[in-house]
Amino acid sequence: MKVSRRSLLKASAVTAALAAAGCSKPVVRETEQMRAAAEGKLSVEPDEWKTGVCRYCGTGCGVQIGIKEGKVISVKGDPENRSSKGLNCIKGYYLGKVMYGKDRLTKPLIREDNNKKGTMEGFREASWEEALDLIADNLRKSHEKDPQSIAFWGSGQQTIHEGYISSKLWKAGLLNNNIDPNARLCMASAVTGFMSTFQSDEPMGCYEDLDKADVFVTWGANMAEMHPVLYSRLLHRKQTADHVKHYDLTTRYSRTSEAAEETLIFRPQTDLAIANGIIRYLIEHEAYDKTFVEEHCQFKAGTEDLGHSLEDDYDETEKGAAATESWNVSFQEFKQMVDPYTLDYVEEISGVPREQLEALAKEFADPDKKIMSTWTMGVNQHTRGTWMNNLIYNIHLLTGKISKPGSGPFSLTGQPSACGTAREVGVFSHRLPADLVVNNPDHRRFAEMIWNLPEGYLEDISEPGFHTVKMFRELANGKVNFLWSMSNNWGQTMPKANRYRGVDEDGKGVLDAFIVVSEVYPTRSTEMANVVLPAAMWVEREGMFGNAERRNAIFEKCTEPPGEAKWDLWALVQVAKRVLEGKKIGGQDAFDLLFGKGGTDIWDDKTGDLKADQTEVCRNVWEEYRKFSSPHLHESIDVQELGEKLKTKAKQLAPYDEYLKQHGICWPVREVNGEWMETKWRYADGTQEEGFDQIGVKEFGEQGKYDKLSFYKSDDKKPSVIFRPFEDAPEIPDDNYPFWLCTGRVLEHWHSGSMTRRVPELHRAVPEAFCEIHPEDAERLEISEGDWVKVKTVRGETKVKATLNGRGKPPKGYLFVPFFAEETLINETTLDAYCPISKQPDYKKCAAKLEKA
Amino acid sequence: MVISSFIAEFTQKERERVRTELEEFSGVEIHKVIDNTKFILTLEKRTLDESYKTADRMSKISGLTHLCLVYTNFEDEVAGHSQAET
Ligand code: SF4
Repeated sequence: MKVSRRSLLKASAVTAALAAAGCSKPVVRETEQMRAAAEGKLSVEPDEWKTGVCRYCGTGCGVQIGIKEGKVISVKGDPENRSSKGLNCIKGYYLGKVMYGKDRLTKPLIREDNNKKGTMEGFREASWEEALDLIADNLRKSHEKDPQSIAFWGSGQQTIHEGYISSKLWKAGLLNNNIDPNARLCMASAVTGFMSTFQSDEPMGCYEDLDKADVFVTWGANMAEMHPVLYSRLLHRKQTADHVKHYDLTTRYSRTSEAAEETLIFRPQTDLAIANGIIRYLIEHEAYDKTFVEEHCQFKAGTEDLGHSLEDDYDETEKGAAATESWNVSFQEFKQMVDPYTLDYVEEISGVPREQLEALAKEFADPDKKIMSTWTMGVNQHTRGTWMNNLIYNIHLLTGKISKPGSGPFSLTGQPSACGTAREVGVFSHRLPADLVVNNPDHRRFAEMIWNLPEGYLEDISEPGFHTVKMFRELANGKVNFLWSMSNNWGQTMPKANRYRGVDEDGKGVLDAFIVVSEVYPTRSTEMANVVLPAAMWVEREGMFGNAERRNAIFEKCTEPPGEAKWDLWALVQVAKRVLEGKKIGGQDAFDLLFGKGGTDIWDDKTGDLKADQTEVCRNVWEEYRKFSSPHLHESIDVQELGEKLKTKAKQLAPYDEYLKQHGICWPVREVNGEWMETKWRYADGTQEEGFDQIGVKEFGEQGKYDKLSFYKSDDKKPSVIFRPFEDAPEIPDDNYPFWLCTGRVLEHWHSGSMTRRVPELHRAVPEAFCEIHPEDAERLEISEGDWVKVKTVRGETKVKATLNGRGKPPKGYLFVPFFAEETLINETTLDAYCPISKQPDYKKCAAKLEKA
Repeated sequence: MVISSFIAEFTQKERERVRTELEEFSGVEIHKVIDNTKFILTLEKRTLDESYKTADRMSKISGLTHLCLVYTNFEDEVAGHSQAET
């Protein structure tokens, strides 16, 4: 039989799909292919398959990238990556193509005409040398004049190595905490929720819970569009087990609602009341797990009546300053606090029928049901985002549905490395690596020892720096006059964009500041830059992302970046070399101590450049970073003892090369009999081989506790069930602004669309933004499908086309507009009020009016 | 020529209708049914864009609960690009 190239390609494709489906039985064509390959007659295989992870969302799917003659010719799901098991969503088609948009930035640009700021005009091309010198010069001058006038805005899309080096340069090199990631806009409430309840960030469970749960509850998460591969696992579970149900709590009927058994549409902000209603129901009906509560929980209350962070000085006000305070209360006191939240009361304020609320509460009340809660921006982008996270944990803690296969609260992430980079590395204004924080002297001392700094050297960073909204408010006010942003697009994605684009009177400081933007394509942020640095993207350099289930995975370099585009890490180190020139730390050369032989060891003295071997650079960065969570391996007894006290080993990581070998590993990673093993369920005792937290519980917790759980990172080993009341949103629709306005994403475009809109077919699939309107509202306002409308708030207005029959179905009095389209800057209308604890702004609700344009 | 493979999950009672609708798309070939819940299929198209467009339309078939991309080879398209550039 003649074997064609086509049939061989199909055989490869089928074989990959069968492997991903968990079926290894060969098909006939595979045999043909093997025969042909053996005879050396024909090969459709690339020269080389490299290992990688998807560039887009926080699911972190593994991919294998086929290279032929230096070009990416093929992509397949990586069956050895345990997060995705060989599956990708259809955005995977364009993983290769996002790198090849016609307008890739390939040369550094320097702004010559500051009057043209806000446009891509007024730039000239420059050499890297000139651009780096200019950046370093401005950074040094600003820093010398006022250390608080510099800032760095990082990203959950920076690799772990890039995030680590940014953070080390800013915190240890410049002794400055004005560094924050764009993850502040998406995950900060999850972080503060985890920290306040468990004193340890990130989920305890894993994606495998999706294969085992009896009930799914999505709280403000459109998984069908935002986490397609995880959603397919949820659907598969439902397909293969008839009893499985899905409750979708949402303010707008979405694609995720379509397959849910129950959709609970609630008035924005009243999810706080719904969660309290469930808690009250469980207590009233004595349907909580009493033994679990007695052995594992403590009860708390916190500051209430927080007001809203609308003014620049909110954090310094009495309410703002007290927002994080909490104290212990008795169970009886807690019971009284939730007492007002009867289901009738919750129905009244949320608009969700009592029967639906009761049905959901009864699911949690059933001790035999395994329940998985998932959530994303609906919960996190919320002026009470931390509280909502706490409330979901409260429900799971009261019912003991946590840290068990198929049962647990699971916060999903939006960016590929919001967890690995922003959170774990600590690219936040208040954090250091491995859950450490700047305002704890022991934590600073530990960082000093890992970074070989003299005792007390980090004293200057004992106060948190500017969080994101504060950073941009101070940029607008003119207090921050040097900003470097990397792998993000603040010119489009910051709420209240008119202020941060220098349009509003109170935003003029942005126009005067010196702004550096590291980017791959021209964006609404490069328009605001004084220097644009062309960056290598995705597999044009080596890197590592950490996904939502704590899995860190390496992507190998597969191809060269175009033109003069360079690795961001290279640019960071080049600027560090210039800025630290002549500076000493404890009598030693500062640059050498931080990044040279005395520290991370990524600098080649002979060539006077970053080491040429990217794998060596990444390995050296990783191995230094890993010391934070492996104090027991450190030569210093002091490090060992302080690390033991701080339990940093709770986040233990494996050696760098192990991540390539295993195609990603979930932390904590333990070495058992010479093998590095991941942990799927933290705090749960059981064998490490099966994914339980055997070593963690044994070393830091207590074995033999109820349900074989030990929350060893929590104070007194007991997570906190914290009372959090319902408090209303900062802006509520009224006669003048009668609509709720919610913003978000669509399946085809990733975040601000700067990559996906360069792919013609993705662009054609959803070419422009739209405003979803309820048909009755449209009729009343005489608006038809496709009409231009103006969405207006007190902050600005945006012109956009109306849709009455989009994929989302808003309730009456509610508008939804996606933010991916740079020509439709919906963020000119959104509100920059944030959660007083997490400082994460709320993009999901403000008051708006609608007019036909 | 761009060849891709997918796992397509369907509602069991809709299996035959989903199969028929899938096979109506040109370039689709169903190779196997697994667990009576998933089809293993390949899609052959001229370009990546056509592949994406077809996959997007397939994903909207009622009763097809999810479509996961597993493999895609676009070597010809890469070669085409290179030729166009030179
Ligand atoms: S689900 Fe997310 S990580 Fe996975 S392939 Fe799709 S976009 Fe990439």
